[in-house]
Amino acid sequence: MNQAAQWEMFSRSFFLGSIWSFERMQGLGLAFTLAPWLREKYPDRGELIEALERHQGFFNANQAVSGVVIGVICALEEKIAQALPEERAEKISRMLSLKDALSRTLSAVADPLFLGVMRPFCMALALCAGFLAAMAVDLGSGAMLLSAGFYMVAYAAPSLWLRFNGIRRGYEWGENVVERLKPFSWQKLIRRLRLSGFALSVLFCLFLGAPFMTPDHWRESGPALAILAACFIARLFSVSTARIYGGLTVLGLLLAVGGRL
Amino acid sequence: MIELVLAAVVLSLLELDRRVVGIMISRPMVIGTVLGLAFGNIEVGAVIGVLIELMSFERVPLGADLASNDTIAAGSALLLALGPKTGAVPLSFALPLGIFAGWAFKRVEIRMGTARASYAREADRSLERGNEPSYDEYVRAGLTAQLIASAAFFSFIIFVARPFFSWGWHFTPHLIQKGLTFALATASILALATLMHALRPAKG
Repeated sequence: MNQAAQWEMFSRSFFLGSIWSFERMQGLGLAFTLAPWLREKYPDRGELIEALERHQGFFNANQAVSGVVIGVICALEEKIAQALPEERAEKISRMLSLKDALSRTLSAVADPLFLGVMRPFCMALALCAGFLAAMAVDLGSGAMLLSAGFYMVAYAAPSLWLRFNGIRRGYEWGENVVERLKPFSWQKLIRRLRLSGFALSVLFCLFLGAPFMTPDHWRESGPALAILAACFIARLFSVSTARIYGGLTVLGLLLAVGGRL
Repeated sequence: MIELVLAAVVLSLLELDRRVVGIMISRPMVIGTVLGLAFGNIEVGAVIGVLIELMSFERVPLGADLASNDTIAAGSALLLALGPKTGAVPLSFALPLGIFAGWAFKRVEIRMGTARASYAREADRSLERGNEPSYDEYVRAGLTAQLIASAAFFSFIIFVARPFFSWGWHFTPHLIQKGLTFALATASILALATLMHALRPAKG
């Protein structure tokens, strides 16, 4: 796969979700992404139509790891195109099984990693960075912009890097992709990110709360800590934030009725 | 009003990032900060953006399980709270209304996700006839529909919801106003608890 093909596949992979549907999820988007590659590999119209049919069925993968799956499909489709007619059926069946298994397994790791942990981790990092920058230099509103920019880059950069390089890696690894991915300790990475993100969020709470952690401010900081604990416990019981917000509104209303506000 | 319409156009375009590009420019924290700066009220923009962003960590959208649209939530809250002082909705009211808007738009997205299956059937028919489906056209149509849906939703927020809730706020019982103000004051605590919960060290 040359660089031009990799770039074309990468740019088209952004549109994987553009025609997302409940029926086939990203299936049509995958066919759209692969179309130029398949056109090149199958000059015969009938074979091209068959190849497109193989890929516009059900497909769903996390955006960050979609590159690896696309790369593997490209490698296997290339082999199918070069195979003898009697070998094709078996190769096609193996490719479809691998595509299905790979997209499911990689997404099962990438969804909790990127959406479940990376996003909150980057947020905790961005909040701490913005807070520290604002303490060190008088940035004014620049601190918020810095935090927002940091958050965006910290998440998008590794995700895009993985998506772009995944295409080449997937293409090079082909059927050996499972063997090549085995050494990665995804769960360990998730655990470490969670732990450091949790520490950062506690640190951010301490930054915010430090000025109020004195006996003089106990009347304000005490209830705030109690609300924090109550919200955390409610989340442990899977109560949605919208419901907790509603609960806080009712609490405010009751306090107002009792003349405490 | 012109600036609100322009903001709605920009927000509708940025909303596409959720579906296609995925480089975080549609995240509440980013649009909140940028729009707040553009309207000369970065504090309100940042509060809306950061709070909705943190609250969005409560759930990981997986496969067909769509989460509430937090870009629409933040965009709606921003369009309600920012802009000309006359007609603006107080932040304590705009934030819960924005969260509700994000949930309401999820219903629209569910319908659109079902309707987009027609492209797949059209592509199947093309293949049956021996023609290559016009994927580019499907992509264009899919994105245009998404753009129109979010632009229509934001227009509703500007021209119907904003004047209605701005007017309605004055008639809202004082106690409810106090309750909403208290909820806004404590929203940052809820948001931090959601962040800590999302990152809590898991068992095993």
